[in-house]
Amino acid sequence: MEARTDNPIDISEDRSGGLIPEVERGLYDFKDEERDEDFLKAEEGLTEDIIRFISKEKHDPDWMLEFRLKSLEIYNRLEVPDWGPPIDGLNMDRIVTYVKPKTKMSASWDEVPEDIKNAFEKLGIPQAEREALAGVGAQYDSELVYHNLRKDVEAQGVVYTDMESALTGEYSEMVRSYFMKLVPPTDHKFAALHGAVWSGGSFVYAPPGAKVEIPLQSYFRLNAPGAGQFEHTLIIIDEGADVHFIEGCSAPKYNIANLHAGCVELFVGKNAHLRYSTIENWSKNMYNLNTKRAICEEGGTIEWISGSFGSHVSYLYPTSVLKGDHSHGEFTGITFAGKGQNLDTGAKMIHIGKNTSSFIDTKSVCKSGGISTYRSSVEIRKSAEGSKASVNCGSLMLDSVSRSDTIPAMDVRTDKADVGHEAKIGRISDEAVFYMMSRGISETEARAMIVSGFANPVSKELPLEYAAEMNNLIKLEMEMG
Amino acid sequence: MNTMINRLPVLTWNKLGLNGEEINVKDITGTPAKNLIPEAIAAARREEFVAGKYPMVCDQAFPSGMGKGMDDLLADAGLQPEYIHVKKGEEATVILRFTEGSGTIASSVRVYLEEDAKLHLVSFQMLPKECTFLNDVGVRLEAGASFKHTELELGAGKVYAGAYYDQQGARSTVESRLGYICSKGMSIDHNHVDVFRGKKTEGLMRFYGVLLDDAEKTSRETLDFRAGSKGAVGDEEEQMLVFGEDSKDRAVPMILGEEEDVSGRHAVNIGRLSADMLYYMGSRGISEDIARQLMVRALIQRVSSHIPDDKLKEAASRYVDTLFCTRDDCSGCDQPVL
Repeated sequence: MEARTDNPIDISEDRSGGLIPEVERGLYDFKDEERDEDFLKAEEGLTEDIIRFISKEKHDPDWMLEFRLKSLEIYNRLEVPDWGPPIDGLNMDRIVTYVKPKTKMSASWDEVPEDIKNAFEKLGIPQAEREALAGVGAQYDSELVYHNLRKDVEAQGVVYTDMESALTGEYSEMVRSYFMKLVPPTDHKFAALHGAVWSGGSFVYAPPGAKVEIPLQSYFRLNAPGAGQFEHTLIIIDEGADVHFIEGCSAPKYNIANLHAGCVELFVGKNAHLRYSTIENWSKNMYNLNTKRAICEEGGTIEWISGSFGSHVSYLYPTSVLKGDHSHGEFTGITFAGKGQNLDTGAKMIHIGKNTSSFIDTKSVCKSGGISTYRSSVEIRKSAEGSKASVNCGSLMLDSVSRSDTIPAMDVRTDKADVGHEAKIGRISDEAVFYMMSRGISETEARAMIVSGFANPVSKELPLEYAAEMNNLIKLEMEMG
Repeated sequence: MNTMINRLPVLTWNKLGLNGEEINVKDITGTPAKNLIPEAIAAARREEFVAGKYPMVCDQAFPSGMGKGMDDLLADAGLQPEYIHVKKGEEATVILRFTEGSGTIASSVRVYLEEDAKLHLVSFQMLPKECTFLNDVGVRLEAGASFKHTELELGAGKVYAGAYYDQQGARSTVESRLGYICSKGMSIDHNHVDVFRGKKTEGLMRFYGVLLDDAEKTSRETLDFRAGSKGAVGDEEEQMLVFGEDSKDRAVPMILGEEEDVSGRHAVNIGRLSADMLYYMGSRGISEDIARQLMVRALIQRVSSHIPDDKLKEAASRYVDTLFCTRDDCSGCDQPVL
């Protein structure tokens, strides 16, 4: 990465030719001033001293410090990817990798500092917790500030806590045996970065047979300008258990680059089921270099629901490793790229077990100079006899200053599999807009309604409140033209 | 020499090994070009970057599917691409037949179609299995021009093929079909790119392949809609029959879009005969082997039926017969037609 004296957001990909306007994104764009006395910050950059500082502050066990230092070595060795959107506007020397609010994690919103609590109130998290969630984790910058789990869910033996508590508490051995085993630091440069500086995130363990009827949610808010967020989510769903986990994220927009390099590792046991939903709405100065991966044992099912709306640059490809026979993976996603955004998203499916099946259904929308790339791979290994995979992706371009690419790959190593792929690119038909306008709907509204309809396969998979939020985001993006 | 050919117009994950193919071939045989690409034609439309998105340099003045690596290989062997120029409003059919030879055999063609010109380029390859065949095509179309490309790759053990259709003129059309059968020890690696620049351009690409035994195939198929190609329609489809336990089938079907008012579609089907179909066939007394043979024949006919030469069609049909013949005393189906 190119060294710069500051870390301005790179707008070279803004094909509309203008600067990124300070758009009003309603509730997501509020900023809270962070007073130095309320936060503990690491120095800018990435050095061994900074890693040791983070590790010390987090009271890491020795093996974790060693792991972090090893990851830093790997990070320094690996190259920046040459195949995706440019990230040369990201200068790691100017990123603060650790910002800790000087407060302890609490299970009561009343004990969370007022300004932080207000931030989550504005985002509707406490209200959602009361109405629709079984448990909530709220992370502000680098640390969890709130974590709570409903008693009836806890009574089933379900564990939902912050990663730090899990790392040093009762589940420390379990964490050690699973942590970054699915996404090793050697996987790519930003997995190594994550291994070096990770902080925060959630740990979930669902024991055999546990059924969590309503979702758990972790919400990640990055407030500090020029900071990075590197939360780690580790979810282990034991045999026959069933969980829906929702991840939300947002940040206010600054005119310097922020970085998100989180990591999600999901272990789905025999005949277990996990649905992992995300509505990503990072601000448009964010480099979102996130890694998500799941592995399914025999008969296990992983379902990804993903809405990508924010970020300046995104690299995001949730991966499902279908290891067990008869395991199943599904990915349903929408990406909306507006002005100044270059969002490279998609999914990977790796079939290893016999009679495994996977389904990818994605939609992408781009407008006002946004670049949307759908990238995927489906691998059917020789051992995956009797497997089936289907990929369906649709792209909608709303103008001719934007760009939409579809780059799927398939690799089939057995003659006993069926793989299908279909992709389409097109525009909103003038006839449809005309029809709606003839019935008194404004053009902007008509186009927003058509895009919402296009996104319906994703929104219908979300709980009502989240589907409404996603539709609001689409409306907001459409109105920003 | 080691050369990179068949590079994707935009890159994907390096780990997949699909961004291009590095080959090492020597002692290339080819027919010296009778017509060379005129300098003015080559330089007329030179572009520096591919697709305008990634900093990938377009290093050919007159691009072809296999890319500059192929030009370098030819130059190393003292060869150059053959140039075909069809003048305004004229029509032609060119059949390239590759049925004899040994070692590495190369064919490289550049086609320039003036306004409303039409060309049907047929490439029929049934070389001995020990051959490596390099088959490269680059086409530039002016307004209203039509290009039909029919390729059948049947014999050579290793095939590298590529085609680049540059639809610069408005209302130009491309119709491309590639068919192939790879059996034991054989492989094919191809890169077909259709670039839509002119308004209301149309492109249709069809790929029909059969993999038997341990055959390997890598396909790269791209519809690339450039800014200004308003009203363009691109349709690409790949159908694969995979009957080889140890076969490898890899595909990257891409759509690149920087124009809103276009319609693009691609579809890929990779697989075996469905249980329903086999049951249906079985209920009519048709064994699984025969059913396979029927399906392979039908698939290849979707390409061979476009070849305007009955002898070549018959040769393709006989090739399928030979492939599935199990008779020890076979003396008919393996007799060459050509």
